[in-house]
Amino acid sequence: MASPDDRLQGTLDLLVLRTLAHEPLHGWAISRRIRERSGDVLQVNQGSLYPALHRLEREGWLTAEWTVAETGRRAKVYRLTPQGRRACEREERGWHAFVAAVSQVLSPA
Amino acid sequence: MRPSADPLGLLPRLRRIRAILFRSRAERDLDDEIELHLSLEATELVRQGLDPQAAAVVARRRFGRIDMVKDAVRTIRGGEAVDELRRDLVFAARALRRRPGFAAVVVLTLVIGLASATTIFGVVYGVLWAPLPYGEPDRIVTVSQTERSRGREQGPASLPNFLDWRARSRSFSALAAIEPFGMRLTTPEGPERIPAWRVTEGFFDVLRARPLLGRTFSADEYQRGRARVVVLDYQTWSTRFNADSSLVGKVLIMNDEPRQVIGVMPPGVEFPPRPGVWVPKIPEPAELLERNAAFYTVVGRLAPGVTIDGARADMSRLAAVLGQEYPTVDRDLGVALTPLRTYLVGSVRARLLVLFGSVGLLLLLTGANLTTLLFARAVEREGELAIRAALGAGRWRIARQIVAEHLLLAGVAFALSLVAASVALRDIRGVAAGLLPRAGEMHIGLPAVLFAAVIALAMALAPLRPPHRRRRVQRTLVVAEVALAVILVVGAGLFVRSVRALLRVDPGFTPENVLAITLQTESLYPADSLRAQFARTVEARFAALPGVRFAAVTTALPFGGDIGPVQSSFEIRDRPLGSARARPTVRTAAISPGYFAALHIGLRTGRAFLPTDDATHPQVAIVSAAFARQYWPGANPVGQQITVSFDSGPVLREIVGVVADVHDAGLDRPPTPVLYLPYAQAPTGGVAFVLETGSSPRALLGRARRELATINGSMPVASVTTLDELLAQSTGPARTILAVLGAFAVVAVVLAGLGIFGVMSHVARARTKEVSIRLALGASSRRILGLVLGEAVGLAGVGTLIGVLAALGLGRSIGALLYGVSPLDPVALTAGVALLLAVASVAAYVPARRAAAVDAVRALRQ
Repeated sequence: MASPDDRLQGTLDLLVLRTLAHEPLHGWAISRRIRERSGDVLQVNQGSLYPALHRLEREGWLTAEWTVAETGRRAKVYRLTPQGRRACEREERGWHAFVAAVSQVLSPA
Repeated sequence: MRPSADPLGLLPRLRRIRAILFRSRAERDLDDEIELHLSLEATELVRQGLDPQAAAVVARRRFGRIDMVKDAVRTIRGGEAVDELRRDLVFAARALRRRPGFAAVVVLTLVIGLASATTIFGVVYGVLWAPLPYGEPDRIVTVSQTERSRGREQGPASLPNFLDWRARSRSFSALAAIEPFGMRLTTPEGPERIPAWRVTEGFFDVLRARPLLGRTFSADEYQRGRARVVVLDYQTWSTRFNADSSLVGKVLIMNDEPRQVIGVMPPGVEFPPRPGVWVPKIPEPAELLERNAAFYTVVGRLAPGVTIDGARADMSRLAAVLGQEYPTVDRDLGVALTPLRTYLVGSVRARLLVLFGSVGLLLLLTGANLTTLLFARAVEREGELAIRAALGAGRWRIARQIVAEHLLLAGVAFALSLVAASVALRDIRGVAAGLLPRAGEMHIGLPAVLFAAVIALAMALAPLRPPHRRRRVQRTLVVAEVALAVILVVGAGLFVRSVRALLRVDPGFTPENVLAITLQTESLYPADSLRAQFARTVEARFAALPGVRFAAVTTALPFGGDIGPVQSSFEIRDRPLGSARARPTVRTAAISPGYFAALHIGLRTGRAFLPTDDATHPQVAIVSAAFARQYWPGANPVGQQITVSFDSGPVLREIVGVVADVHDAGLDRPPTPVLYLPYAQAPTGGVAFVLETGSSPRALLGRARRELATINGSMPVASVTTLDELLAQSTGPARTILAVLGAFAVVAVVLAGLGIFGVMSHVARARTKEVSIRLALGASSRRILGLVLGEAVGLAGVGTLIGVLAALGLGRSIGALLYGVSPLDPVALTAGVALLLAVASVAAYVPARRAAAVDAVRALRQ
């Protein structure tokens, strides 16, 4: 059974992967997209975001390339790999199963 | 948080230091990534109404601790690099395991080259370059006395001259003199002789060497009447006293007197070379007046700010002053200063550098071979790499894979080479101990490891890129290999011929089966008559031993092995030679009548010594042919009278005979003039008994010792040798270098053969199609054989030509090291050329046969 920490880290991973499933983005854009799509509910801790991105890159779930951002600075844009896409689907199924389980416990008998 | 493998948290700190020192690209990328985030966040905040400054602050705060984020990322990335390296190496190992033959050949080739190079590096570094174990060793010089008129370049100094130098020169912060002197050590097993040196005050200040144990002499220990003390060198302490650390403070009986051990010097403190023990020099009053008794090696430390040339000028000035003050003795004297390192190793420097140069050639050869092998490998896996590239492996990734493979091979070879080299060096240390200075310093230390590592790395990384015009490069490699091998073989041939020429030189005496037993009789028999009597007794008893054909006494053995005084000054009666008081000197041996017979030294004219030539009869002398030629050219010296000062005042002697020359100073030097005196008329303290036997002289030693003990039980045997050994020792350095160079030449030929075989196999295989077509069109397989073989021999021919030209060029630079053979020696050149052409033909024959045996039909169908 995954520990709560793992679950939380897995959640961040899932959020990142899911966000990148639509389009390649750089770090700040990922955090903003998550915030926006959650209606400002989910504030990604940026201190965990970048280590997570590098870890996922190392796992081979993300690849990155350098482009020039709208402000003219260098931007590292992350993109989902096919492997990452599969991982995303797996994580998503896991999440739904988790949520379903929790809901079931919480629902009135 | 992930669990940390670094509980002290040192790793991030180290990484940070590294990042500051070498900000890597990855670090810059990470900075940029975070910068971008902060600036976008701040821009967003400004849009929401904050002023830019506050926005920047808030953006930073929201981000959290930047350094912690960076550390977390670095940890992930670091793991990544290590992981990838491990993956690459594992992959490389797996790939190589599939090709064990290839891996073995590459490793073997590398080990041959690398192990020889590292061994020779160990030798050369240890002898020539390893730091001397003294403080500021470059400031130490030896100071020797020269005699301008006789062209004597270096020699020991006399005590009064040394004292004047020390008192009146301004160039040295310390100056000391050392005097050789034997010590009889009383041990439970009987008396033993050990080398010893008397050193004047300041000797250890000159060296600035700290003792390993205990201390060196204090100022008052150089005063008369103080406790007797001794300092041991490391060798003596470790071999004779089993490195007993409680020895310091103990008392030894030396020359029948108690002496307290006060210190032991560390290994490598060897001045003079192989010192034994040091004791304080306490001059006798009479010695302070003996300005012509030059026995002292003088060593000094240049004063701060004084250059060696400055010191030379100062000392020549002083020498001129002393020449005026003591015209009878010092008139002709000069002073020579030699840096300590040159003094110690100058004699072998040129030879060792030649050796080191040949290592360079060998390494080039190894590199060429390796390139050949790795080419073949690269070609073979072009297919594999193409597949991997098609599957998405990046160029970098593929390159890294090849690097990993090469590194793995080089790493294995590196480790094996270090083992091989340290084994080889241990053997060389044993052999070279008496033949090369500083032989004890030859070992695998950090410099040798670094040397090997750099070469291994260079070998691993150099042949990375298979070139485009492969075939051309391969042919160039064959040519280069043959050329390099020719240079080495011709060089070795020249040395072989030199040593053979040297060994063919007739030494002038018969060294076979002659045992030499050296004794110091002075302290036990202080009176001349007693010494002469003792020597006569011993000689008679030795002569009576079964198996001994001749026994005789001498005070000087050929080829060094000096025992007592070996020079005398002389004057020919009624004939002034040079200036009034600058009398010529000559190598002198006091011998018993049987000496010439024992060594088979022929009498040219006159008579040999007789038993009656003793103290009670007229004083006589015999001269060598070279002596006669120099002073009585074309005339017979027998009957001439000369005044000889040997170990005592001048004595008028009549020359009664002339004997054949002996190559006393070494086979490569012309015979020097020698003066022989009857031992009974000049019984000095140090004597050697030479015993000529029918066979195996060493077997006689036990009986000779027992015989000696019955005459005087406390007489120590100083040394035992055979004349064969002395002869071998005199040619030792030349033969040692020859042996190593010879081994190199063999290795070079093998490497070149392997290389040619490798390339020709490859070329032949690449030509399979062409060969098949030719066969199909009716060419005979003999013709194909000739085709492939012809190509190889052609390439070898070009290589040989280049090699010969290079050898001719390089030969000039080693000319000075050759003896009796020209650097352009046709025999060595022809032999080298013939050998390499033969090896090339043999190496190419197998591939050529294989090419000729191709099944044309099958090959064409494929």
